[in-house]
Amino acid sequence: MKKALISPNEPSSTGYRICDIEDNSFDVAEPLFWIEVNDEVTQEYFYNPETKQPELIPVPVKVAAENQPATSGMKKI
Amino acid sequence: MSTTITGTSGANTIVVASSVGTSGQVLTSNGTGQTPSFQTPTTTIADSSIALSKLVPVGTSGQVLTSNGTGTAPTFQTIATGGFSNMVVITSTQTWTVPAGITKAKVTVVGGGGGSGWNYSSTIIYCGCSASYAVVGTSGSAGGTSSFGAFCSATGGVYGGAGGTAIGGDLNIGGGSYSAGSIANGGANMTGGASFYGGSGAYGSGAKAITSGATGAAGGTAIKICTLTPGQGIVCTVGAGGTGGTGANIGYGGGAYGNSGYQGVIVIEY
Repeated sequence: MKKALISPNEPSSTGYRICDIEDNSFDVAEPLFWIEVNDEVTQEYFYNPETKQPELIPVPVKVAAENQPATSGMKKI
Repeated sequence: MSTTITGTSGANTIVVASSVGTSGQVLTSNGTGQTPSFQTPTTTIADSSIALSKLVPVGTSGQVLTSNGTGTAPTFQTIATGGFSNMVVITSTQTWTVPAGITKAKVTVVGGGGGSGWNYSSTIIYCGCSASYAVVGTSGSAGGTSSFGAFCSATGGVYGGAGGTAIGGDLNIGGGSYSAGSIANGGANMTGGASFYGGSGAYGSGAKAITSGATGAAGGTAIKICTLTPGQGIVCTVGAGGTGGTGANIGYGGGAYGNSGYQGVIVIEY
């Protein structure tokens, strides 16, 4: 288990930003607060205040390199 | 038993009773026609008659004798002087102990800057060349949170997003946001978000972009006048700068795709 620092003043997705992941908590000013999270939680997650759980931030689907439109043109010499 | 001593002094006769009065009393005249009596002497200290060397040397050098109010003995205390005369710059996590005689300090807390990176895929075909280069990079990571105990905190800036925020300060300043690069604008010249202390290279600033990706945002800044207790230990946590993104590419060499953000700092003035 790790400690995740939640910042209610910073919206992220539909909840709050997880601004730090640490092995041990340290003193912080309110309203920042710590929760325990599983090891797989990273800052790619946000804190959902309704479920009180971290959730993965939805990421736009990436287009594979081979499927992206190519950019081409002539250079002036 | 009492003993009477009788003697002659000139024309007067002195009669001393040996067992009257108490220890330390003196025989005192009560005026003409009155019998003298033994009385406790009253000590009167004459004005300006006691030298400073006779006083017990308590307190320490520089302290002054201060009234503690009616009914309470005065004590020697250190004088609170106006303005700041000391500044401590903390760049790594540690416990800071409030010096003797200090009850107020101005503290500036800056979160770490975010790293830069390139987190999308693209295919580039250079003019006149048949070669195609696919680039797949990763995001930089966010800077760490800095905190002066539970007094005030500042979160780190993120990659490609908003600057960090500040909590608990008398003045809370958000970090500068990121800049997005592109092939057209030459992302390598894009500087990271500026912190309270300035742009790229300053404490808490975001990382400059290496490629056409995004820069890091800066950490927030909290400034607070803190009321402290001499001898109090305060954990000062300094947020690290976020790491730069890495890239994998096809047909175009290797290397990093992002820089690291700049670490936070805590400045204490007292």
